[in-house]
Amino acid sequence: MTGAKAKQEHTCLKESNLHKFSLAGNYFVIDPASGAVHIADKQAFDLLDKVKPSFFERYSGIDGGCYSELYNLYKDGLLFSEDSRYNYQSYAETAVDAPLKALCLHVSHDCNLKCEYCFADSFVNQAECCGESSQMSVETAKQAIELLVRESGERVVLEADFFGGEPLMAWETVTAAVDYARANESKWGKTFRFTITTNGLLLDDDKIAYINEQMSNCVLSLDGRKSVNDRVRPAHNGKGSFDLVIDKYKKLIQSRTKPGFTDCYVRGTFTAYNLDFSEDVIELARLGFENVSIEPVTAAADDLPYAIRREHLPQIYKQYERLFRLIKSRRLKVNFFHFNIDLKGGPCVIRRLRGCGCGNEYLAVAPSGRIYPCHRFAENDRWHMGGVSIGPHEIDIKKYFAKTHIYSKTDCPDCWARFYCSGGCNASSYEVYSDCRVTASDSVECLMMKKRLECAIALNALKLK
Amino acid sequence: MDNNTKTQNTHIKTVTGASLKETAEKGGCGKCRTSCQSACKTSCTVANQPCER
Ligand code: SF4
Ligand code: SF4
Ligand code: SF4
Repeated sequence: MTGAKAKQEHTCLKESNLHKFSLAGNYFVIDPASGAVHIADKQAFDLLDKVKPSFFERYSGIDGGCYSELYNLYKDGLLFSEDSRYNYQSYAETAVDAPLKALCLHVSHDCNLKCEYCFADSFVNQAECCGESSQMSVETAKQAIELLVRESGERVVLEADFFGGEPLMAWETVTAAVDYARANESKWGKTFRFTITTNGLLLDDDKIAYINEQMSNCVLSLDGRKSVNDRVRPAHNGKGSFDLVIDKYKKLIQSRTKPGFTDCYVRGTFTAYNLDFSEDVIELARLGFENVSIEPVTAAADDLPYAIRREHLPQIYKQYERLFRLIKSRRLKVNFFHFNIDLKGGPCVIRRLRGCGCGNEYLAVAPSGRIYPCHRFAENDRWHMGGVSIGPHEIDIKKYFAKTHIYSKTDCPDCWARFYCSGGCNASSYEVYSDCRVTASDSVECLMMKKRLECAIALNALKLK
Repeated sequence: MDNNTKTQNTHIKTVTGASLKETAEKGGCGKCRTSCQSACKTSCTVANQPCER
């Protein structure tokens, strides 16, 4: 028996029913199944390596002692809880396909940038080779809106997001879809929430005004420092895009004041080229952006030069810890998206069993009108679910995703992060393992997720302390 | 009990109690926004979405 295994059997410290970590001199203890979060001193933190539930069944300890504090938490169901105690799995098992609530409209598979890491490079700017239009027609976009309404059942609030490629390259389609939905929403008894994700190049005053009037969320792509951004986000002439968008972004955000329509994120990607990405968050804050998200690149293969590899992890962890310290001490005043977590509220456990709802509550529509489970499955024939006018008719795919949840994935049931992460990205699992239900809790992706979550939980736990 | 443990404990303080288990019975209405955790969108974990019930 290995030392680690012996230790685990002795202490019963299964990651799935207790997770502990220290950060910046604080000791955190998470009881994943109940959702409880505790801040411990070193003595209690260390004692948790030695106790196991069966001890608590036999011995309550001496009042006021460290052990008895742990005993009381155990008895209150706030330490070493098991999912089975709450029957969460039964909610997952009875899950059925749900009405549609969100649709991603790929209005353009053209793009006016050539980002080195584009996840969609198999279909973006490929119109010549596939011989199909790379822009969604106004008619198809209207049919997509009708599909969303038709499949949404009793749901009142529906989301549609304009994505690409670059959606501003099909601006006429965007406005036609929005105007059509707005003109009919009261008749249909629905309320639409629109989002647009753009690289900003084609923004002008009219588009900014329209976006700020109609889109309840707006996502602006920029990778941080000019040198970082321009290396990986060049325009077709090879020149960097930073200077072309920065003033437009500032203008858009400054004029984004309509109540209910103020959400806006500047989002960037970090790659192996900028493993010091906390500097990019700092730079975006310095430029005046309050809501910032910088996320790890998804690479199609590990040997791509920009791909994040296992050996980068220590450096990446340090970056998240640095951001944690800067934000906690308020030396960096920014709303860093990945550190937002509501420990007391947040989504219900049923929602957390399945992350994105792709293929089930959420679908994507390609420019041709073909339906896919989400934007990352777009143009993959294996996942073609039908067309906007009559679909989705591949009900088996919808049912498959309804049953794809943390308990049907390989590593998630035993992962402490399951109710925060909700089982990762199905498309990513499919790309890496050819199976949406395979996850690996020691993969680079999962390890980064867990580090971000630790920082987020720590930051918010300290606020509540 | 949360409040007791929070105020009386000296070695381990509970900052949030059984927040999750309490949501099981009343949850699942589907009113909240979708979320995507892939980097190609503004990825987020489900946990940083608000409940809209
Ligand atoms: S709105 Fe709240 S209760 Fe309803 S499914 Fe979403 S998280 Fe659960
Ligand atoms: S995807 Fe990875 S990090 Fe997320 S719950 Fe599953 S194993 Fe854990
Ligand atoms: S499968 Fe992945 S990329 Fe697709 S919606 Fe879900 S999290 Fe996002």
